Amino acid sequence: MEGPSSRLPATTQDGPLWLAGRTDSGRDAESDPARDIKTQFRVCRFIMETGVKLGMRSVPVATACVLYHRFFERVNMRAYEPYLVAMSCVYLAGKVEEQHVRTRDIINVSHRYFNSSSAPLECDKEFWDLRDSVVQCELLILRQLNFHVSFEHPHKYLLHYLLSVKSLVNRHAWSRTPVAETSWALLRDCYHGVMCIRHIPQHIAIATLYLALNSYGVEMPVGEREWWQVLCEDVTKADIEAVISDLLQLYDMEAKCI
Amino acid sequence: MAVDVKSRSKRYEKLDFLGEGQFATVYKARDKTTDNIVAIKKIKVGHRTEAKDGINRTALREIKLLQELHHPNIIGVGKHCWMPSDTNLTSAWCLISWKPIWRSETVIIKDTSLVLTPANIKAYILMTLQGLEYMHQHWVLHRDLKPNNLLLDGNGVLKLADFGLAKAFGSPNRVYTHQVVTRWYRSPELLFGARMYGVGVDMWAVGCILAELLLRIPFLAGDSDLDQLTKIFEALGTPTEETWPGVSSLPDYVSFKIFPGTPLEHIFSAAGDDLLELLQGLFTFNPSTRNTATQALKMKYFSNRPGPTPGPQLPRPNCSVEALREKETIGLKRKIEGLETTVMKKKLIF
Repeated sequence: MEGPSSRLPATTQDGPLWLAGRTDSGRDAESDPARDIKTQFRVCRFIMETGVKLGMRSVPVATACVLYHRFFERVNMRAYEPYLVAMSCVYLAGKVEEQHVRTRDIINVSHRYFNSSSAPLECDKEFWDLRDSVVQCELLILRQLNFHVSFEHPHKYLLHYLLSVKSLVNRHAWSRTPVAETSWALLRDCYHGVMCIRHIPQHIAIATLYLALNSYGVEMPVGEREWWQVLCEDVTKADIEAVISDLLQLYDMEAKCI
Repeated sequence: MAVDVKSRSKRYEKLDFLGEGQFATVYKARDKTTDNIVAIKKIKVGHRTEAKDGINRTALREIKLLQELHHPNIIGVGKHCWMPSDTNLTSAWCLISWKPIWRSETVIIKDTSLVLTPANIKAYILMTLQGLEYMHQHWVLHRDLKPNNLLLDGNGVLKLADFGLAKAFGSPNRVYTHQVVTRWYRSPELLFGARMYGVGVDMWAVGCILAELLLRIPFLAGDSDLDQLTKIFEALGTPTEETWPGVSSLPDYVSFKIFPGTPLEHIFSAAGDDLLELLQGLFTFNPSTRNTATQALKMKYFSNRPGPTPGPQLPRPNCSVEALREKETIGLKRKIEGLETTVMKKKLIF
C-alpha cells in the first residue's frame, strides 16, 4: 500500500499517547490474522459504545462500523491507528446519516472510554492535535472509499419483516416473547465483524429474525413455502445458515476478547 | 489503490473553466484515454486551516445523492468520484457529464431569438417532472429548482442538477430549514416559515419555471421575502383559512391585504385549458392538495396534442457556448442593475 500517510500529521500515524499505549494498537511488522480479528472486534465494540454514549441512532452507528470495515478492507491494519480511524468513522457516519456529532464530543467520550477514572482532556495541544487527526483521517477514509459512503443496511428490511411476521403469529405468543428486541439486538451485533459487509442486507435481516424466532420457539404457520421465502424471494436456507454461523462465531470471539 | 487514484487524476486534462458555485467549481476537461470532452466538478473540501470540521456536509450530501440517483433526467456522477493524491486532500473531483451541457436559463429563456413552441415547452416541463418524480419516489427533495439548475445536453435531454440543498425527506417529526429555494421560486409555505414540508416546495418551483417558459421572464420576482409574498398574492389571490387550512398558524404568518388575484387565463393568455389546469394544480396554495409530480404527469396536458418535441429537435442555442456565457454575465449585471425595470415590465403583463 503506497499510502498518503506521509502527508498526514504525525498523530495520525502514531496516535495520541492514550491510544498508543493500548496493547491491541501495536503495529508489528508481521501480520497476525487471528489478532487482527480480535482487534477488529474490540474496535467495533468501541464504535458502538461511543455511538450509544453520543446518543446516535442504530443506523448511523451501523454506518460507522461499515465505514470502518470498508476502510480496513483496502488498507493494512497496521498502517493506521484503528481507534483513530474508528473515531473518524463515527464522525463521518454522523454526517452521512444526517445526525451530526461534534468532534469534541467524540474525543471526550473516547477519552473516557480508555481512561474511565481520569478527568476530561484539557483543551491543550494534545486535544487540538487529536482533533486535527480525526478530521484529517476522515478525508483519508473518503479518499480510500472514493466517496462511496452511503450503504444499504438490513435495519429497514428487518422492520418490514417484523411487521409481516407479527401478523402471522398468535397475538399472545407475540406479546410474551421479545422477538423484535432480540432480532434487533442480533442485528446490531452483526456489525462487530466483516460479516456485515459480506452478506446481502435482506439476508442478514431474515437470518437475525430466524434466529430470534427459533430461540424463543415461536411457531410459524406452515404453508407451501417457508415463511422466509415469502418475505425474501432469493434467500436460501444456506444463506441463512451462513449468516447465523458468522454471527455465532462473533459471539465465540466475544468470550475470547473479554 | 493509490496508483489507481493517481492515474485517474492524470487521465483528464483541464481545458476550460465553466462556472463556480459556493462549494464547487466546474471545469471542461478532456478524457485523454477516450478523447471525449467531459465536465468535471471540483468540490471544495477546504484547506487544512479553514476546514476545521472536515468535509463540508453540503458537499458530502451532494456527492452522496448523486451517487444514489440514476435517471435520464438527473445529472449523474456514477462511480467517477475521486480525490487526487497530489493536492493536500483539499478537493474532490466528480465526473459529472460527458456531453456538452447548457444551462436552460441561458439557452431557452434568455435567448429571445429562440422561438419556443408549445411542444418545446411541453418537452422541457415533461422532462423536469419525470426527473422530479423519480427523486420524490426515492424520498429526496431537490429544494433548489430554478431554470439555472436545469441543464440541457447536446441531445436535448434535460437534466436536473445542483443537489447542494437536496435532502432526504419523509421522516415524520423531522424539522427542516425554510431558508431553501431561490426566492423567486420559493413556495408560500416556505415564505411563511414552515419547518415541515414536502414535495410541494419543488412542485411550486416547477410552476414558476413553467410560467417563466411561457412568459420568458421570471413570473414572480420579489426583491424581499415579503415582497415575494405580495407578488404571489397579487397574481394568484390571497389565500384564506378556507383555501389553505392552517395557513394562519405557520410560524412567520402575517396577514395580507386581500387581493382578488388575476385569473390564470388572463396572465397566460396563450395557454390552452389543459395547460391552465396544470398551472392551477402547481399553484395551489394548500401544499397538501398541490399536485405531486406523479399527479401532474397524469394530466391531460401531457396526453393532448401537440406531443412533446423529441430531444434532438429541441431548439439549439444560436450562438456558441462561449458567446452565451458572455451574454449570461451581461444578463446578470442587467439583472442586478435593472431590478426596477423588471418589476415595471411585469406590471405591463398583468
